[in-house]
Amino acid sequence: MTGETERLFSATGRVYVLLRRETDRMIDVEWVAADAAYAREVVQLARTTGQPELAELADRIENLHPLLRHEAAPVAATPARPEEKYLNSLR
Amino acid sequence: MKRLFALFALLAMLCGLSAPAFADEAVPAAAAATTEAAAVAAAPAAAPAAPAAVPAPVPNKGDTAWMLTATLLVIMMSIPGLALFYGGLVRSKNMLSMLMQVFSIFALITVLWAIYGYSLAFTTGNAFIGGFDRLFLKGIFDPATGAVANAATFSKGVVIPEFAFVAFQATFAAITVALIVGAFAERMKFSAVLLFSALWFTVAYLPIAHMVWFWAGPDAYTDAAAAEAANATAGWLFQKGALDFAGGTVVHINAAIAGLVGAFLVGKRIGYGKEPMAPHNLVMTMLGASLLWVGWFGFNAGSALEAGGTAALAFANTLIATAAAVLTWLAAEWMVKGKPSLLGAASGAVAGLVAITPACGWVGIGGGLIIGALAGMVCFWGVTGLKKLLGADDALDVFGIHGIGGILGALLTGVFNTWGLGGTGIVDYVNNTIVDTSISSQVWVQAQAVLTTLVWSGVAAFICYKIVDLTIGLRVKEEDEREGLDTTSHGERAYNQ
Repeated sequence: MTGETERLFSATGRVYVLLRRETDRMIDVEWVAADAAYAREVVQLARTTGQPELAELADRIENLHPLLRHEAAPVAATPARPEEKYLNSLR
Repeated sequence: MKRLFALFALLAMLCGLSAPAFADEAVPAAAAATTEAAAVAAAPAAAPAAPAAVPAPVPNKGDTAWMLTATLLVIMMSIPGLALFYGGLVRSKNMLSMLMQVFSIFALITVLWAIYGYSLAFTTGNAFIGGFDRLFLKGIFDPATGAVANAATFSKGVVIPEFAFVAFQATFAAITVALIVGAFAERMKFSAVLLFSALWFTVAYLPIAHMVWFWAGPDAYTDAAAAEAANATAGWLFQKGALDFAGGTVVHINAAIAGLVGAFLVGKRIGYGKEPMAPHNLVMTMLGASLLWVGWFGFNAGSALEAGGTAALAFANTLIATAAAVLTWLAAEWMVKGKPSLLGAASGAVAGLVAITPACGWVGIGGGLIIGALAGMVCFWGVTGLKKLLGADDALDVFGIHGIGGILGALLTGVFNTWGLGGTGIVDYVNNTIVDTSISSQVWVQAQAVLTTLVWSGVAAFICYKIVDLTIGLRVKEEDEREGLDTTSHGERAYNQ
């Protein structure tokens, strides 16, 4: 599992917990990673709750998900994760 | 593969056949030393009619102890220093493979060095390669007298036991080849790494080492005619006057260009440029860099071959220039990328060490400081701007640091060697004095050494990679690369919880 996939699962896991707590709805974490349409629905659902943490996690899933990344709006004003600088170079 | 194993089996048999002979001849070191000392002491008495005869030089115990210590330090640089430095920079699934490659190459090159490497690098042959006089290190130990042959240093009448020189230089050969693996890390077959290492060592390292470092020794330079005759037997770049105190060309440029060619020929890692490939453990990398820095004192100061003032100068330059490089790398990184990183500090240290390597015994402290300071900034560009320009997946930036740092250090050695800039000048062994060098002519000679190394090693590496590709293949299967080389190539993991 790549570091990016690990972070996608981690973010989706947190969405699972928060959605269940806020809306009593449960999602399939593995299916989020596998299916773009389902992932898009989960992202939208997370945003409609109005909960800031869920909104931030929705942004993160969009940026991490290989099938959604091109749809994601550029995330501004969030600190760059250390891993991102290793995309094209080591140093 | 079967052919490869057959080759190794043959080599093993050869070693096995020669071993009993050495065992039979072995005598305690103390006995050998006593015999030598007795022979020297007895010489005047045995030849009273020739009072002018100069007794054969005897190794100084301090020099010998220092050279053995320096050799140990260089071994520590390779294993574990370089192995940990590289290992921390790869993904965790390839950690063990990096350790394994460095460890195995060290062993392989050491054996090849004893069989034919030392002989081809450091005996008289032609200007480009030595001969076979020391094949299997024959002739160094005389079982009849228990004497060990001596090797020249850089001072007239000063020698060290040749075995100390053999071992010291063996570690240089081994670490040079091990440096290359950083360029094609995480995707090359282990058998291909070994075969390439043996081939490149033979056709690139040995000739370059001979060209740059082989000479008859200072005692051969008694007068102008003798000096001319002695010079004619030296390596091609040595004859030209190239200055490379501890291996800027022989070790760093040599390995770096071979690594860059490998990065192009082996190809990019799967996912390179699409997914981040973060170093899995920068603590290991910092530990490795620190071991490299400490070990480098053996590498550089040991290259004086004596425990004297030149060794101390090389030691001080290695300390100070490296510290300057750490600071300038961090400053550049801070300004360009916004944050100073630990990897930047470790990389700056290695860049400074590389750049000061050819210069450490030839320049003063001021020159060393400038070389180190420039190395930190220029090598930072080497691993960022230049890396993008080249477009190769040089995984651990072997060329960006060792190539660029080596070239910078080699050229600046020609600048800062002059007295006017605090350098040492060079020794005139005929008149037994020190003479100044001209910056322009020395830089031109240095540039010729750099270009020769780049072209020779680059072409040799290309041929070696192609031979390996056509015989056993360079690259692991795609699924093996995704799984990681630790389990697919070695059946182990670096970390088991």
